[in-house]
Amino acid sequence: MTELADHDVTAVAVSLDGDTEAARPWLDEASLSFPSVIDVNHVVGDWFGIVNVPTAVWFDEQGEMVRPPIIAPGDDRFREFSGVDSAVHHAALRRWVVEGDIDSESMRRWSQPTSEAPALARAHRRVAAWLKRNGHAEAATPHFATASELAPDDWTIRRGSMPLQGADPFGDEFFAFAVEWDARGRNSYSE
Amino acid sequence: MPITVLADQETSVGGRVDGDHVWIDSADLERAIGWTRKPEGLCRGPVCVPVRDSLEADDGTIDLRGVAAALGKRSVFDETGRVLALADDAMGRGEIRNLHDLRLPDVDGRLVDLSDTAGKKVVLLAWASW
Repeated sequence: MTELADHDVTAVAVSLDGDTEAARPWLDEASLSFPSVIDVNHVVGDWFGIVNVPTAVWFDEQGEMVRPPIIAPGDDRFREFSGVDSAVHHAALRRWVVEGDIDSESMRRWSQPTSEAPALARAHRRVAAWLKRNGHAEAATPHFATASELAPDDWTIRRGSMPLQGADPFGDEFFAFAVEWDARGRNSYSE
Repeated sequence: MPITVLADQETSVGGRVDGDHVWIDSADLERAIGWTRKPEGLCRGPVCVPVRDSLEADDGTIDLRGVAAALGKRSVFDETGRVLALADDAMGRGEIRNLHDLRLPDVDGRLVDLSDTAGKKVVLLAWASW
């Protein structure tokens, strides 16, 4: 973003950690120069259809979405796994900010991963994360399970719930999920 | 005992639980979910959604899960925590919300109003420690 500093553009970081304290050390380390908010309830899932991280969504000066959610890594560390090339996004971002060039068809083409009931899944996850944060881990368990069943390909639910359930989001549970997700056809954002 | 409502924000409201129904004080409705009950229906800003069923009880409470259903939202209640979550699939329905209406806390709990970004292009970057 630094190279675009002369233009009227800002990034806004939104953390999808289920607990603010999980985000804090990362934010302390990064000391961001742009606004940063915490969304433990995954409101941006409701509003903008975000189901994974890192995701970028573009909004114009009036707050209207002009480019739907897309996986947007800052670099190419996970390129082999994700198949996403960061340079493509950076070039498109530069064209939009500097020249106002936007792919107006991207909103029409957008589709979110198919799911039985994304809103109901998010409601269960929302209750589960709150229960966990407020000392009701046992009551949270069935809600986490229902959320996963309803939205098996939503990373913010599947992987994002792992730390709240004492599972390692970089360990065996994650790899089991990734294999399952891959076998189902890598259901994620498509443009 | 208060009831916690998780919608676009977390709020604590007065009310009572009756089986699957969660009746909250009508006066708390707008604070909890951003919609108000008016003669023409449920309203948020200039938008009103007509409501067929009666949602109010005689004791000044309103059926929050009935309200949620009327607005096309899904709701989940957990008795242990007395917590009710409402969730929406606005984007999936093609109703894309405006970024400037969003308010979320920063890491220290201070609310950040995204309308502060008006006049600028915004790249919203969703991330997580996981």
